[in-house]
Amino acid sequence: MNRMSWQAVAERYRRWREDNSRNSDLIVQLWEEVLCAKVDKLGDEKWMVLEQVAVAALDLHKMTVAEDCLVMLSKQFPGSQRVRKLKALRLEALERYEDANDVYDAILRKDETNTVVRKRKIAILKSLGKTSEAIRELVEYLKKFMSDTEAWMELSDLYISEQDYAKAAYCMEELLLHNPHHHLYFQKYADIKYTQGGFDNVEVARSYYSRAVKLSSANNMRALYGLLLCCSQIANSPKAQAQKKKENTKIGQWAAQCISDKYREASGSEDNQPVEQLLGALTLS
Amino acid sequence: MSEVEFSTRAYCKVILHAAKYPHEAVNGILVSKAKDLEGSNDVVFVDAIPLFHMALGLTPMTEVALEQIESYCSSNGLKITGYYQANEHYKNTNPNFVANRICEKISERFGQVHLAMVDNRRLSLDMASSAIVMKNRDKASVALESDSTCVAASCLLQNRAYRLLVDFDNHLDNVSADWRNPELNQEIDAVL
Repeated sequence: MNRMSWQAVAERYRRWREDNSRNSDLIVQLWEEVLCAKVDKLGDEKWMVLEQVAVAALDLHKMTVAEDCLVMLSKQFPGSQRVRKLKALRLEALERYEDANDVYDAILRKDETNTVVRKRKIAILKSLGKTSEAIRELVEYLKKFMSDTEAWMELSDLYISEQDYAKAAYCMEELLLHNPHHHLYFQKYADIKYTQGGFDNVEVARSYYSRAVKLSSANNMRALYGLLLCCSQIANSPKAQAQKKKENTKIGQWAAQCISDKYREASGSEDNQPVEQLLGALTLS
Repeated sequence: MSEVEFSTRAYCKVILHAAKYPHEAVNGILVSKAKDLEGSNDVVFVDAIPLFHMALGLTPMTEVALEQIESYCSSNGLKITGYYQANEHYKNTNPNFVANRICEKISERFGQVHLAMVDNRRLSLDMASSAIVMKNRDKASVALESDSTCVAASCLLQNRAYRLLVDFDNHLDNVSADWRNPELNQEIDAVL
């Protein structure tokens, strides 16, 4: 880790900012080992990096690292709402949720459209275990900001945690409307339908898994497995007529072959035993 | 009241799984040697198989994982005897509907299954006692393989060994990642 050049680290940070991925442990480790000493070489990027490190440090409860970054940011941007939001995030990390909410409310009074702060307030409800309230607030939020993909995904997950699969599926439908070519959304929708169970839902799941497989050029393992599971169930179901059984057996075998090929590619030829047995168990008479 | 024992390997993998995804709920399966189970109420978990850190409440991939694990177990003289879960919320050690449903499903196929919950509050870089609580009806007490089990777990956490851990989600993202964790097993053995 500490053999990486500061430029390489800065590049990684850039990518993580773009992906919005949560790699707090790595971010803080690279900061401490490499970037901290070289931060002044970053030019304007310095401030975004400090913000990124502050958030990561708060995630890890490394308060001193976070506070050092916050001091530098406050000095550079006095009176900034963005820095204020980070200070509120620090209060959240200290579990001072009421104080954090006060700061967020103050920020919202100045700017109603600050979606990040609105979502932090919902995150606080989640931290407090108030899932139903979080859901309620998130539904209200989505009425105003209906193309917020991250929020629809979060709402779907909250509904899943409450076993409200129908509403979780609805959220995925919204995401599919916004992103009709995203194989992960098709796959997750199928996962939810499969979980709901019953012949009709499994048939729907099958068609969405198929779409996911197609859109991902058969690279989405979950979609391939899902397709195999659905085909097995449908082919073995008393509700399916001969034609349907035949069709599903064929597609199931195709999916099984794809899966088998992927394993073979990945691990050479040995060690396919678990896969063969799994496929055997899942497939069809 | 029965007793439940975690081998160092099983215990460390549970802890490392929770540590790898501190902001998510994680779950997994615990296995024992089939021959050790005959005629005894006590159970020793010899290994842990990390399952998921995403969408624990959805069933299809759980079914796939259980099939593969069952297959692995029958070929290696093992049996599925437990399920573990670490909740998303720091202070919550209560099993939710996911834990209960999965345990029910496993019990239907493999017989009685123990339910282990991780107490997140007891995880640290310097653990002195077990961070696992059993939540079955008879609330079995938890024993660890040896006095050095906690030390081993703490050491692995300090060395960030959780980066080596592969769960079933990781495997589905990249099939060359092995959920049996041979590399991590070696790391754990080396630390002892």
